[in-house]
Amino acid sequence: MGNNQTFTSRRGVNSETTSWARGRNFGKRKGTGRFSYYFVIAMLVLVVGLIYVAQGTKATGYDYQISEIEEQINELEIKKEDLAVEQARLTSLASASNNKVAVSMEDATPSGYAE
Amino acid sequence: MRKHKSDRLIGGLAVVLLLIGLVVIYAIGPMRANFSNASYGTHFSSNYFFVHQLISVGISLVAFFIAFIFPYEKLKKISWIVIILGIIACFILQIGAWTGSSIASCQLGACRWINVGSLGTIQPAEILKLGLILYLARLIRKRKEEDNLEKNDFWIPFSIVSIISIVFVVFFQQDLGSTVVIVAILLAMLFVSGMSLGKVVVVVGILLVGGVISILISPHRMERMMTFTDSDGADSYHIDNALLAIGTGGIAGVGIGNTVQATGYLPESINDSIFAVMGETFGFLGLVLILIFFTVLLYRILRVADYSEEDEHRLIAVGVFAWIASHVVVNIAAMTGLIPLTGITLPLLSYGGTSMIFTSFGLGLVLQLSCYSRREVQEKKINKISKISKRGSRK
Amino acid sequence: MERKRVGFLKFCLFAAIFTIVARLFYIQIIQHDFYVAKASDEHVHENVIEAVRGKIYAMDGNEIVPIVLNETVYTVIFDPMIVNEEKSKEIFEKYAKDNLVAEWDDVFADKNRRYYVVAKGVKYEDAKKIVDELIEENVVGITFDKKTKRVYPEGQMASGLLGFVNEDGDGQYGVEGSFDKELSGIDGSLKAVRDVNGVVLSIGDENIETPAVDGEDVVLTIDRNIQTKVEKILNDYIEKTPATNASAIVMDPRTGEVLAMANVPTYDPAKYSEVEDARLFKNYVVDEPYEAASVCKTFTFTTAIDLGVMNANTTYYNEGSMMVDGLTFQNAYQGLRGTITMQQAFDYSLNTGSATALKLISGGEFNEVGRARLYDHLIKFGLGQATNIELYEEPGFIPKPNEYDWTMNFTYANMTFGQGMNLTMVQIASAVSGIINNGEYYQPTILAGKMQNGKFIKNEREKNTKQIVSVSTSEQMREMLWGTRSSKRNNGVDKPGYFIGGKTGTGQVVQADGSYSEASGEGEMIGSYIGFGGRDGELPEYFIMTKLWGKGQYLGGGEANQAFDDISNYLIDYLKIRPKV
Repeated sequence: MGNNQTFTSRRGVNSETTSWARGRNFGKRKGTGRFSYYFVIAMLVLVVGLIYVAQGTKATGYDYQISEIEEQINELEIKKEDLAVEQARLTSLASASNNKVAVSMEDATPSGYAE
Repeated sequence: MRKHKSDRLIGGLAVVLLLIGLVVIYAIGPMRANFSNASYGTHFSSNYFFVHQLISVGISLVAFFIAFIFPYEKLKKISWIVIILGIIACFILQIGAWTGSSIASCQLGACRWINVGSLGTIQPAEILKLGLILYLARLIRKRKEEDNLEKNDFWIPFSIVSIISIVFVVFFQQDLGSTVVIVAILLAMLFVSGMSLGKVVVVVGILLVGGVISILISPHRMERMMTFTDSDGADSYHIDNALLAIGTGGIAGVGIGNTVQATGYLPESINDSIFAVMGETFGFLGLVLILIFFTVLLYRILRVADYSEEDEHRLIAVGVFAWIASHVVVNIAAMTGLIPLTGITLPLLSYGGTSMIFTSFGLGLVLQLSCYSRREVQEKKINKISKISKRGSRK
Repeated sequence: MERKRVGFLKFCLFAAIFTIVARLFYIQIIQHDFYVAKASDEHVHENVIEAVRGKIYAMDGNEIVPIVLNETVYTVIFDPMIVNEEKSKEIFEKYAKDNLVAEWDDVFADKNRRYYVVAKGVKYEDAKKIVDELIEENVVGITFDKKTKRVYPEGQMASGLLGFVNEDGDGQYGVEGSFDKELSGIDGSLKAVRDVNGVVLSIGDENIETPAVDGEDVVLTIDRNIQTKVEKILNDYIEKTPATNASAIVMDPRTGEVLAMANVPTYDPAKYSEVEDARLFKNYVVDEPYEAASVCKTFTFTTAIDLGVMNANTTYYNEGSMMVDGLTFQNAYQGLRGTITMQQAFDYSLNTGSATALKLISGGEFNEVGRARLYDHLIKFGLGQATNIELYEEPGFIPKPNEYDWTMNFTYANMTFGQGMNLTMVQIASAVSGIINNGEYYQPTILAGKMQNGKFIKNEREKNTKQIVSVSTSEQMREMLWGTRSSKRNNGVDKPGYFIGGKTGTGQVVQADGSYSEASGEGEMIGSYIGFGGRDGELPEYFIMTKLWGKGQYLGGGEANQAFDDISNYLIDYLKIRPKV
């Protein structure tokens, strides 16, 4: 036929693969461009995954803190209770009668009344 | 040897699995820390486990990369160092265990880790596994070339190395799981070495007998077997909770952060039992996905073995396959109650540096070897060329 | 060939994975519900949130002070099978030596036991130290049960009135028993998903919390100073007289509030389980109806005066005894024969006088009309029935005008001097308080109000007053009672400027066979006294009734009288009652 089609090999364009022989297909090892491309994707996936996880576990992270605070509250309540008991003991008649100061206090005897 | 692009799937899946492991640890690490602090008076920070896992992943990626880049031709010249290192490490560990020194980290009478101070711990068994694979690959190929494969020249070094490894792992480290892995590696490599099946069967027989004897003479192991069906004891507690975790996962799991088992009911939630935790979190669909990842990964490794031209490449690929596959199967089967517990990790997902790093190294090596596999490329090329020539001839 | 072998390995891989997936399918899909139910069983726990028991307060003048409070203590339980014997022994000996309730050998003797109570009453501070060390030493299998214990800063004061709280948290006897519902509150519950250590998790949507409703804090009208003084006086009397027991009640007749309610001997409510004689738990003032004897003459005379058939100067002929329905009764004092006034009869506590009063009520001779009139008045005074004070009461018993088939007149004649009918101290106290308070009767109460968030909320009582006698009757009765005290018989011991009146009563205990015990030697005697006091010219500010009982001849109204005197003198000073000059 008369078509004068010239076949330009794309191989010629890329300087690294200029040979026409068979089996010469080592090419470049995975190029650093590709590698960092995959790396970036992997990192993005990882970050998205972590954010997703962080959302889900926000509440449960507080569980132990809540428990600790509740324990503190319980402890403080018990302390308050104990203090009330202590105060009642100190101001009770039963202890005051042993208290020298109380004994010397007036025994409700009248010192006379003005009219 | 002609090189071509490596098998992307192997690399990609390895990275994906590492990342999944990282994400899951991020979710349940704080639970583990809280539980340990409350029950044992430790002082782990919430992020302790995640950070350490991150470091391990980082190192693993580096190991993976090195194994991929560093040409095997050069590596094989020094590969015998690994097995020696492994044996020495086991030796050091054992001396440490006998003298009660702090270098040996022991649990329930079995010492499996070497303490390296602030860097953490190292598991010599993993070094042994890698070393075995590399050494045996060379040994088998050499003997094959010399046509000495089924003779004493092979059997003697083979037996020496195997027996030393097994003795350390079974008797001194009481690590039944790793024993199974080593046996699997040995058998798989022998199987694919090209020697007659009869000889392989004999080896299997010897190992079985050895195995039964070792169980009978050790009360600890007898007990382990017996309590497998017992409903009391620490083991069945572990399995019960693992099943509970998996079972409650249902089809799609309870969702991230909603796992109750991992809050403390399930022992070893971040390492051995991580599969069960994922079962609770992601459900049947999630687990099947993980299994798909593993299956494809392992299949591609076998494919590398299949299409390798070099015996050594094939042997290494099969060795790594056996290593990872046996870990996966033994771990998951135990978690689902099919076999007794053995305490081995799930590769790439479990929290634990040594296993992850060495597995990654092994995978990186296989990835490198995948660059040299032939057949597929040949066939593709033939098709491509015939297509081109067909086109050309149409004028 | 190698390819085939590798192919075999591929087959192995798929076979293994397939098995695993099948197994997972079984567990996660087919058995899913089973595991969800099992997980719920293990993870979800319902815990009781205990309601805090209300405290009990009393008055100290105008101040409100706590007299019964709560204290948190722990009961320690071991699981002998898994507890480390050596370490646990060491730790407990160090911190809770005095709280141990078991011998160490007994605790660990049987290693198959899972439950053994080792210590009780461990205070919070000690418990905390123990727990810290247990965690550090990694000792497991020890549980601490939180319990609350009642604390009594006033010791044994008012033990009979207060009662105690038993191991189950139920109030027994007294205020603890009668107010148990208010003091207990309502327990709450928390049903939630928990982790292995019991910590509540926010996972899951099954969590339900019902908060506890704490018990109410109750404020009594009792004044602790008066209560303590009264108990001391009564204790003195059972020491220096043959009496073995004594009780007293002090009331404010103007409001019906009870300022003291004492029963001695007392016991320690904090150690109620060590009490051997259950009679120590009784509150005789409200739960022991008895024949109060001559103090009841007050009621007879009040009725007669209120009906207008007599006054203090009405006379009659005293023969020292009287026969009714063929049966005879006598005066205890055989003197003063002849024509005497009712006042004299009252002063010398002559039975013939009160019987004559009934005759007058009946119109001249004993009959059913008179009986009915007396009965109606007694009921109107609140006698023979519960007073509805907030404590457990016995209603007592007053025979109706036609209760028995025979000798009703004799029965009623006896009732005029307090025999044949059973009344409690609180009934008598309230009735007399009403009579002397210009006839305005107030329902007795020990409840001043409640404490809510530290503020006192007064108990709003419905207007529980009724007019039981006329103002004039009240005046006359006050005079008669004052007259009795200052008569020659009872050489007056009262301070000038004050108006104090009262009446004695000496009774015998009714035996099982219906007869009275001997009035001497081994007989059991009961001495009672009712009295009131205040500023001369004004309505009485206080009312006191005392009762002493035990074996012996020299025990009777006289001793009760003296006890009243001591209390009365104290009250005058304590209440700062100014004398009329």
